[in-house]
Amino acid sequence: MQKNWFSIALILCLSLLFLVNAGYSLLLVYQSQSEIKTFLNPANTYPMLYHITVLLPESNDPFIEQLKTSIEKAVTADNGAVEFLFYTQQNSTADSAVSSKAEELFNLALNANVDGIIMFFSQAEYISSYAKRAKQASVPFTAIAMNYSSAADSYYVVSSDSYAQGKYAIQEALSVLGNSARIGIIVPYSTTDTVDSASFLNGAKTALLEHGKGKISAVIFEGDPALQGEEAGFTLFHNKPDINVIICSTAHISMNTAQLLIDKSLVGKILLIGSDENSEISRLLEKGVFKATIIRNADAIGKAAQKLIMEQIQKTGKPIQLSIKPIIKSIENK
Amino acid sequence: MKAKIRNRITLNSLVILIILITATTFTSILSLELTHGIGLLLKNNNTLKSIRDSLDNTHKHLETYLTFKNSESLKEYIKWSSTLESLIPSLNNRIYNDKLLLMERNLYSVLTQYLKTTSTAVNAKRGRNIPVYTAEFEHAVSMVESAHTILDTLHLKNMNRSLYAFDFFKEKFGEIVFINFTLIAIAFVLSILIIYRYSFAITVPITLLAQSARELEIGNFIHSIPQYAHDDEIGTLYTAFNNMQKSIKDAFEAIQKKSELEQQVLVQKMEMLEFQHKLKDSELLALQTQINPHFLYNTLSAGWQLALAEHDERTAEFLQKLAEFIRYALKPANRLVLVSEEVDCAKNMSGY
Repeated sequence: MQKNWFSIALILCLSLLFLVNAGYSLLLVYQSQSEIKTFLNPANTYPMLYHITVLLPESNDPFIEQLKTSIEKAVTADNGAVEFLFYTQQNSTADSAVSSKAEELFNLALNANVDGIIMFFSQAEYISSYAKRAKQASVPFTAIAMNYSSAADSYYVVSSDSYAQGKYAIQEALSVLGNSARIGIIVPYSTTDTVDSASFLNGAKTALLEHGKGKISAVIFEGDPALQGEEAGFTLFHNKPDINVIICSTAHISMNTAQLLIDKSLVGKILLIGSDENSEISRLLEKGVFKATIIRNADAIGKAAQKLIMEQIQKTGKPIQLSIKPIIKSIENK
Repeated sequence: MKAKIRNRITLNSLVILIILITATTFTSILSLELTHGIGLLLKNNNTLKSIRDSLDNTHKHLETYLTFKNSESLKEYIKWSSTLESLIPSLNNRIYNDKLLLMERNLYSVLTQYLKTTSTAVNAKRGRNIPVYTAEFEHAVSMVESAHTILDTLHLKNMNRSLYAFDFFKEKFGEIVFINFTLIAIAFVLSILIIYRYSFAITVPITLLAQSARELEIGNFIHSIPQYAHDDEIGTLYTAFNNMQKSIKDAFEAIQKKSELEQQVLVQKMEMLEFQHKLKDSELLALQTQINPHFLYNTLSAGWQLALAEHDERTAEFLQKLAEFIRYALKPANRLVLVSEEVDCAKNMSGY
């Protein structure tokens, strides 16, 4: 009987443990239930006024990511729900820069009768057919293109200005080197890229003519995959060792070329002008590897696209083509 | 007698049973909850699968009907399109800031539109309006493709989201399973402890009682059993044992007293016998005392003188020796004598 106290104490301790265990178990079940409830009915979900579908290419180009963020912000700020559908460009042919996947997703958006479609086109000439089909289905449609010049068309288009981008890049180079500028330009080879290479080069050439100084020593087309930008830069140095300016037309080309300059200790000897912006480019700009970067204004493009869609939904506007000028970000004005 | 031990055993058994039932029920509920959770996670995918099956069957029978115009296909088309129609309301139709819900809304719109289109196509087929049903069918094909795209995307996204939720769930699941095992183990240990404690509580006093019985068996009546404070069956047993011990002790003491008395009587009897024996001896002694030795000596002396007077010397010598012998014999028997005296006596008797 002397062991009674010990037994009772032990039983009490174990009972307590039993209860604590049971309680903790219930807590875990509650947490799991909450997680499932969150899964089934997300807590941050709330009704919106309209439904916009945005078709964007699958790309690791920071411009696309910035564009996505910009559209999302603009639509959400206006109490709209935005749905991004990403299409691969693998099935694209030389005849069509729009892949079958993009076509499929566009059909999907039309069949779903969404309140509006925003679609990105790397080649502006394909805009009209999609715009017509959207109009036929009475679905508001806004295209985003890198360069759009068909002012006569009655479509809603927001374009970046690749022409201006090329022009600004040359102006930046000439502002430093003037007559002695021997310029190498690297552009993407693929027509499905988010840059309109032809317009970019046109802009560059126009700027040279306008200023009457400097010259384009070489234009190199970067191949795929993206790492070949480094190889393109290497070829440029090899073929034209006298160049003192390199202009890059995309963010990836810019980063790869910058890496090449660093590796070959050419920073400061060759003027590097990049395109677009991400954290790496900003860092290299801070360090002086880039003289400047010509940024496609994704924020303004996204906002403009949302505005045009809203005008169509509210039937308040008329078809318009907006060209958004790029921004120059240099060491001086960063 | 209060049946407290029985009540305690029953109560303890019930406690153990309740602990085990609680642990088992708890474990079962948790298991059901987990299963239910996984079911919920896969619920959307199951609904999507049913929608896809219904859509494919609807479209297959629509195509067959539009191609061959047979009534069997039409019946099947109606059956499957009805099923599809009944499933559509389970999809979201409102605009939310959630990509899955938006995708569901797309599917809702596409399927609703698809059913309208196919209905128009069927009616056009009945009315033999070839351009209309051909155009509607083409439209329907496009919508089926869109629906497939959405279903595939939704399946994938739902599965991804389910897997994400399941990862969290799995983490908790592992902990819950561990806790359940712990609970069962604790319940088991608790039950064993309760059984042990109460079996100990019952057997210890009984063991002490058995020890006391053994002491009693060897005649140790002064051994006392420890106090048992509870008023239960064992308490009753203790009281009965104490009473029995007391009774045996009293009986033994009574027997012992009787024996002592009998011993005393025996001693007294012995003393009486001895006294009687002494009395006899005294009587004998008294009788001996009654014989006057001096008379005998005088008689023998008179005979001796007579013999001398008669000059019978031999008779005189005989009588003299007889007298000496008797004198010797009548001396106290418990006195010490010399051997020479005994020899002289013998010589006197033999005439030497």
